[in-house]
Amino acid sequence: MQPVVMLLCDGRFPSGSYAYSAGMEHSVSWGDVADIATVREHLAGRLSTTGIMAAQVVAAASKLAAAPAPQRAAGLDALDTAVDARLAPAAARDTSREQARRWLRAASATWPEALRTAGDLLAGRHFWVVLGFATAALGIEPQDAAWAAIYDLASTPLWAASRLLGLDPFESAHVLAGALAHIAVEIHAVAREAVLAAEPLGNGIAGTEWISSIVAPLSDLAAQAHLEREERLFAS
Amino acid sequence: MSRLTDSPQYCGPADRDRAWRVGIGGPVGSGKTALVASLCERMKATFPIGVVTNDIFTTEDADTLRRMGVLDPDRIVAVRTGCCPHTAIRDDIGANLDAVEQLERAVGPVGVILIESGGDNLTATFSYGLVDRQIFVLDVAGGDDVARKGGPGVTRSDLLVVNKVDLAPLVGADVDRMLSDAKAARGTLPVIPTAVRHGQGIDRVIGWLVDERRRTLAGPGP
Repeated sequence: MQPVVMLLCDGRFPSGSYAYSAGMEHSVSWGDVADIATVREHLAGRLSTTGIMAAQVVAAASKLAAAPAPQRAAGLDALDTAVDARLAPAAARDTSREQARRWLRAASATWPEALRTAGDLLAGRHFWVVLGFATAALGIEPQDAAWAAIYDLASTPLWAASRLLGLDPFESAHVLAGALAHIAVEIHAVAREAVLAAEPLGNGIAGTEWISSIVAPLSDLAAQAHLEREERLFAS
Repeated sequence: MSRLTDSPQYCGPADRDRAWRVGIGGPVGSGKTALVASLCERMKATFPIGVVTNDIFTTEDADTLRRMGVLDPDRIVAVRTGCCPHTAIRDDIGANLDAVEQLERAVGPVGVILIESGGDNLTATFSYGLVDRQIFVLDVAGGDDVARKGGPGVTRSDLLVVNKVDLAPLVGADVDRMLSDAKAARGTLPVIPTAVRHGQGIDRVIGWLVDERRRTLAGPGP
């Protein structure tokens, strides 16, 4: 693993992640998540559905960075459309693009040389597409990039729940470690397969039907309902 | 005591085409929103102004400013801070930079953008990646020992405002002691006593802002 991955996964990297709860704030207000046991279930559900899709998209976008220039844009368009189709609520799509913009701002300032050309190509795209493609320019392997996305996907709602419910932070860290370990084998496998499946995209052949479309509908509903709330702490 | 802008990291606004930005921080209830409203009312004829608020869990401050009608509603933008108002203004400023850019895109060139922090503690200061100057607002009703307690907002902000001086007799606060404590902690950095609700001291704050803006825009640094 390249050391740069650690910087990306550090919660203090200024990419705006502290402001998001990934639907957790609304799940807490609905009562679906109320304690550390239900946080654990929430994470397991999210990683085994949205997590798989995220790992595939990130790994594919990373692979695409090695393709010839003309194919890159078309491939990125195809991946972006695939994410659009899988994030049903408008709120989730908006959040993904907003998160991408904030992440890219931080990454472009951190690695101005490496990301100089990627910036224009990635403007306005979804977070996982941006993360995969940009991290390839930093020399990060597709599987490590996928892990950066998975870590964000798990830690964002976990630490939001920790703040919202006043959970024991040691217990929260234990649950996070367990959730990541539980999904590790599967994430490695889907990221590896996604790199192969993305080959045709890099050769100008569209086709993203292999990307998992199993998502977490309740989280999606929570994301949409969240934006309609009068009082909310988190941006998502 | 040197101010934060004297640090070697600070090199003035990176892009002079953008609006000049002022952070307004301080504890809950010290009068930040009232100060912002008052500055908008009195300065908007001279400078095109925009406001970014960082409420903790609502858009209350932005809504209040819109209701007061001190600016056009599209000149006021709210940022959500995920329980971490200090993070949004100091450690991870992307959401606020987003808001500033959104505002400038929406209304065109803006002379001054006031960025109000969510009410926070005495350690919450702004990053100079986000603002050109920062004002820290205390109030006498919050306890006249606060200036003595210090913290970076009290000791190193570019301007310290001690608000609600009119309430001092009612809450048993010693304004003179508070001002002398603040001056002792801040050396040559300015302190202005105000009673924002009655307009007292606002002209001095505006005078300071106008001078500082001129200094920032004229030279390579303060």
